[in-house]
Amino acid sequence: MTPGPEHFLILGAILFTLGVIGVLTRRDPLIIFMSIELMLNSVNLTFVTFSHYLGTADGQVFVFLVMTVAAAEVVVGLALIVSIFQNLREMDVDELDEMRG
Amino acid sequence: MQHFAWAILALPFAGFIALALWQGASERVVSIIGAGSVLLAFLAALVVFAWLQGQPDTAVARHWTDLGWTWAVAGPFSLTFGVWIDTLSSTMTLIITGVGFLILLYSIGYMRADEGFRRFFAQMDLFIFAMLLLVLADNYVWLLIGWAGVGLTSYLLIGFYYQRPSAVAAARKAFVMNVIGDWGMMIGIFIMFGSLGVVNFSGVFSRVSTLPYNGTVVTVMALFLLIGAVAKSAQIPLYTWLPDAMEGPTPVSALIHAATMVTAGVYLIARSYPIYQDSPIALHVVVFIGAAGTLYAGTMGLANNDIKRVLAFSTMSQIAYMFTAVGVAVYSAGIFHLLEHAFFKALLFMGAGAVMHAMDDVLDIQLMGGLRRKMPFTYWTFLIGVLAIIGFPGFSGFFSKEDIIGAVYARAMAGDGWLWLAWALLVISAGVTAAYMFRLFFLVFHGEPRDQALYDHAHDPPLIMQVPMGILAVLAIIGGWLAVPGAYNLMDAWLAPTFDLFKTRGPAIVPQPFSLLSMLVTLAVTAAGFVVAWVIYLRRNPEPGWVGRTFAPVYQLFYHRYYVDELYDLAFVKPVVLGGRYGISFAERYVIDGTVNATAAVVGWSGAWMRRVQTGYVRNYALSILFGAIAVVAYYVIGGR
Repeated sequence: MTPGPEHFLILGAILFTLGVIGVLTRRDPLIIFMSIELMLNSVNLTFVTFSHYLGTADGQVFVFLVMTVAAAEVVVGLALIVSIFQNLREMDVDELDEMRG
Repeated sequence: MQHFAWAILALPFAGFIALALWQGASERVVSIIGAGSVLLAFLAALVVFAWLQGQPDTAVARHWTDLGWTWAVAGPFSLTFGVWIDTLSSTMTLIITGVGFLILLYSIGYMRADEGFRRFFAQMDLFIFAMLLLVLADNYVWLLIGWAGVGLTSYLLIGFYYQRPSAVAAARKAFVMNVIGDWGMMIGIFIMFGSLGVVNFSGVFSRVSTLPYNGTVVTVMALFLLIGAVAKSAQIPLYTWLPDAMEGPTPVSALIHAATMVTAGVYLIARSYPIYQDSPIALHVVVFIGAAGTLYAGTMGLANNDIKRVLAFSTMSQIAYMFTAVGVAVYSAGIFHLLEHAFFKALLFMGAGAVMHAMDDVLDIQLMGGLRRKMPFTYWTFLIGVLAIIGFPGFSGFFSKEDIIGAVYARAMAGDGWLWLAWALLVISAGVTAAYMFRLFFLVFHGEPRDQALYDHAHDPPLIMQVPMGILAVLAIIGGWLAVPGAYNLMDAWLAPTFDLFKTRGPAIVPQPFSLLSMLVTLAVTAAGFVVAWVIYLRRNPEPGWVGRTFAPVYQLFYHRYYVDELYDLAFVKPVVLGGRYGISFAERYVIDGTVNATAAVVGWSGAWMRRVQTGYVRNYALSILFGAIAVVAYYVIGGR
């Protein structure tokens, strides 16, 4: 059986859902971060799938854009995580509730 | 010639600018600039006067407008700024600059060593500029600007001694009353613009005849202009500011509140004669405001003990005579009396100022007496002023007042029955004038001193104050010979071209035939008034207060000025104060504060509720983003297109 577009899309959806669950349930900022990456890449997979089957390059262009942004985001995000760790000596996002109203 | 007309305006203004900016100018420099600029303006006015004299004696030849520039344009309407020269405005400029110069000369002595010396002269120059603007403007808008300008300077000068609360209150009162007048005049100009589409004199006066004769529009227009005239000229019912205005320095009272500004209302009506001619109703209103005012003001003058306030009431009374004159459409008689009044009333105020100087700024005539021996010069000049104002034969007031009373008599004879009432009021007022002026005169200059300490150091004023008093005394005697009733009338001949320029439909504008009967009755009543004053105040030489106790009810009524100040207080001031109190206690506290507080409470309450959303947990925020995203997707997938 050759995989059709639906298989790739289902895989993308599963990966995205895993990413969402990771973001919502984990407390370690690094894991949350990885989950976000997972979400981004699942979207990338979806883009590429559509791009391939529709025979246009639009989706692939978007993927490059997402990857660029993701790279920049990693830089900023990791810097934030390091900075938070230096200040608080712990890695639990639930402790970061300075913004509580 | 053109340049001289503009110089009349420019010179006092330049004087004002120089004095306002030149801090630290010595009194000598201030005097030279302040009085000198007005003297030069007087010379320029004389040149214009001579030029007009040289023109042929026709309405067109003796009128000339110089368009300065176009000030504002809006569609077909354009507002210009120009000077309007005719025999009327020429007469007014001569009075303003001539009498103004004499009063400034007097002020040099009177205001000596006052710390506000420079401020005083700067404001006086500004006043003279504004007054000249008023009489030289060629349209109603610039007339109104001059009108407001004299109101402003009058306010500044009444409140000249601003450390004194009563002066500040008087200034404010004058300003408020005058603004009521400005408002009326402005509405009048709006009506003019609405019905005729123009506001410049030549346009308005040539088009006013297109309105129905004695119709609503022209009458309402004339009556609104009259509100302005009444407020500025201190006539019934907007007169209560004038007695209080005596808080200003005496030269201010002489110039602004006797000789010039307060007569602007008479000028306005005379200037607007084509409008008033077309509305006999408005003219009758003018007559009766005038005729009632003569007696009303005179009786208040009978019972006042303040030397300047008595003169203020006499000013009101004399201006009321002028109103009556213009009201019966004998405009030249009104302007004639305006001219003579400027002479003798300025002279009387100067005399009052000299007395005040001598008496240590005491104003109460009950503390004076016997000053004749200490101040002979003031005594004789004051006597000339008194004789002129009561209309003693041969003195200026006799001729001008006779002109007015005779005109009203002749109009009444000609069939206008209501004018008999006006005539009677004027004649009685002539007697009252004699009574209160001689009461003042006897109490101040005759009898025995009532306060020895004050009397002992009384003295005549210095030479610089005597010179203008002397000049005005001469003018107060000879000025009247411009027109001798029944013989000749140079004043009317001179002014006739002005009142001949525009064709009107109302009563004829000609001097009225002389009536010996009217004159004899007036003289008899005047003599009776004199005898009353003589019997009570000279022969008996009563101690102060005797009259007040003997004729208590009437005296109290006059003394309290018919309780009109109290009435206005009750009718206008109290409601405003009460309204303000209500405003604070209810509108301010509950409506405005309530709205503001309620807004704050709603924001605070919703904030308190909304802050629970801000848990500070990242995952909560992420969850809400997820829900949001799902909702958006669901909207497109399920619902909408």
